[in-house]
Amino acid sequence: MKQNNETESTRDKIEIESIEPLSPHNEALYETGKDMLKSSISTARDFCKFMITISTGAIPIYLGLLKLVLPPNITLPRTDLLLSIFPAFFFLISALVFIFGYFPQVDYFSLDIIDEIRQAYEKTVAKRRKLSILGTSFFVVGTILAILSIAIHLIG
Amino acid sequence: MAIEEKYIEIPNCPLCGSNHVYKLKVERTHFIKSLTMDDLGEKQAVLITRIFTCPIKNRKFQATIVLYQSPGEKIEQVTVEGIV
Repeated sequence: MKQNNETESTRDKIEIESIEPLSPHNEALYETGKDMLKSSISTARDFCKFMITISTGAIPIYLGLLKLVLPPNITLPRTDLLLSIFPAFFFLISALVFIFGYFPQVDYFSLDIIDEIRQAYEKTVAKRRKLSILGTSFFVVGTILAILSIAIHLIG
Repeated sequence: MAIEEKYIEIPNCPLCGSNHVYKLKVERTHFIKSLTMDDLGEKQAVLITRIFTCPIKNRKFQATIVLYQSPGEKIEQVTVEGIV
């Protein structure tokens, strides 16, 4: 019991090891952190905006390349048709996910209550992060399938 | 996770020289650990550096503090909540 009390009292005590003005390096790091915190929401939103253009632009580029590879007036068998459609479908899904990421976040908080601001900030950052990862995953899968599809049609 | 509120007194502010008291939020997690006799009563000191704002000069300074954690617990986060 005595040992427990000692443990608690030691745990409660806060000793100060050193106090000093901010070093230039730490000050620069602090400013960097502040900038990162401020820009994290807009960076994710800008990324989504950029990727909407890329994902939607990838569809005609892919179809144009496919048209270039395929002989004119060809009717593809069902399996080949599915293989050819999938990349465009993935690009479309990716664009949709990024649109959800770009969609304005509606949240209500009071500027007087730091916890509310923190919660809204964390919610927004987490949501945009999830959607960015999901959208990028669809885009990468779509790109891989597009390369495969074009390669298969080029060889076959 | 256990959250504790702690108060730290900076006796001699490096910027203005006066006393300031700050509120800290300490988050600890507890985990299961098989204790040995050596672990009993042994506390691990953790050095944590945080940035504080001097309310008089309105500039920042850094302080390194020592917190103790018992076997089976870990200090996850220490946040400076503000001046008291």
